[in-house]
Amino acid sequence: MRRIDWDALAPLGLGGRLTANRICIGLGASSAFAWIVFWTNLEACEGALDWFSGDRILRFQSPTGIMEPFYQILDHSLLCFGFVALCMLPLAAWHYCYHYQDSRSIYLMRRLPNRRELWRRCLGLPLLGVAACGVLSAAHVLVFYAIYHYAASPQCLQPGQWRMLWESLFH
Amino acid sequence: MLEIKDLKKTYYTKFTTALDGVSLTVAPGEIVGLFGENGAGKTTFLKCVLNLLRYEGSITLDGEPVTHANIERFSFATCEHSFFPNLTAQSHRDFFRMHFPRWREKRFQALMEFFELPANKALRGFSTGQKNQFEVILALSQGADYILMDEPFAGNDVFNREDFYKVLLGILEPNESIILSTHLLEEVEHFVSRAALLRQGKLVGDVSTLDLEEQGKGLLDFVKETYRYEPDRVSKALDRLTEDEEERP
Repeated sequence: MRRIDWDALAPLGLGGRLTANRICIGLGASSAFAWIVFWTNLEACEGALDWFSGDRILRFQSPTGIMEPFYQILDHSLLCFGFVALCMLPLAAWHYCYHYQDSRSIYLMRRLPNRRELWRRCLGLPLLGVAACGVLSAAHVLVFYAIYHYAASPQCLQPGQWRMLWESLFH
Repeated sequence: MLEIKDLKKTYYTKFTTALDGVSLTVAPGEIVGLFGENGAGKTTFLKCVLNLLRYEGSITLDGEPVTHANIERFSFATCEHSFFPNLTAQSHRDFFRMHFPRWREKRFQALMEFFELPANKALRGFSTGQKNQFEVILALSQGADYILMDEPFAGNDVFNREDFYKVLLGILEPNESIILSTHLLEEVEHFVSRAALLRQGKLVGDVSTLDLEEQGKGLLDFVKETYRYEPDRVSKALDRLTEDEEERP
């Protein structure tokens, strides 16, 4: 498998690997935050779960007979991914401004025969960061939904969970 | 052939016209000195040629506009420095080799050796003189046909500059052209083959050094003449100053 050359996705001399590591730390922290929020919300559901009872996993049994919709349990668990994605904007700006620090390396970058080189080095890591945030957010939603679905008895689930999630995103 | 026709550049944010209808042609092998007072438009002129600034008029290289397709035929050494301070000379070499297929490895190594520049030290640790030297070395080694230099020796001592002119004359190939913007008129007098003079964004003089020699004039005389320099300007100003002081009680 071809390994990603992180240094080629950041301005020369800035250390792309270091920046990539920092983005990964941000993504890891966002993931941890998402799990904590989701788990706390799930446990806070009325008639909290007895997850493990002996060798058997017990499912949620709401006294009211209705489990809270998925979007409410998901809550703001993905907020940090959004924050990390937003941080990619100043990162891109910093990558561009780096070419004006202590010298005017922007002159060299702008007169390279490969016109994409400058933009690759300014936007490469930020775009990858945004993409990673999107992919990880989607992956978390799917995993959380699987847990939610597994945790609640089918008769307790309200219909139209995805529609409600979608609507909660845009309203 | 580099042809610049009716080049105009206005900085709308500063409400100033930096270049006003400059036309110049530079043939292969020419070494053109670009002279003028501070703010005359020399740097702007070079940046327009390199497409670093938007301009009006036309700049063509062998009949083609300057684009990414032919930009590698230009190199640029500037006193502002266009290298990466955190990188070593060796890393710059690798980067240039990757992007400029006509990279001159032999020339690079020879110049690095001549100026005794360290290959594996980050450029931010170089002295100002060494930084200037490295900037010029990169420009000369890129494999460009037109080498543009903007005050490349600002901060270098006189021996250093002298060395550079000699090296430059020794290594340049007949098809390599240089456009050199500098204030060091007397130093480059024997290095340039032509002098172009800018004043307030206009080309006010364009003469070959051979013509000047035939006329028995030096480059400095030509510049002073074209600029209508008044030799007694300083004494007049001093007289006026002393008169003012004497009038005071």
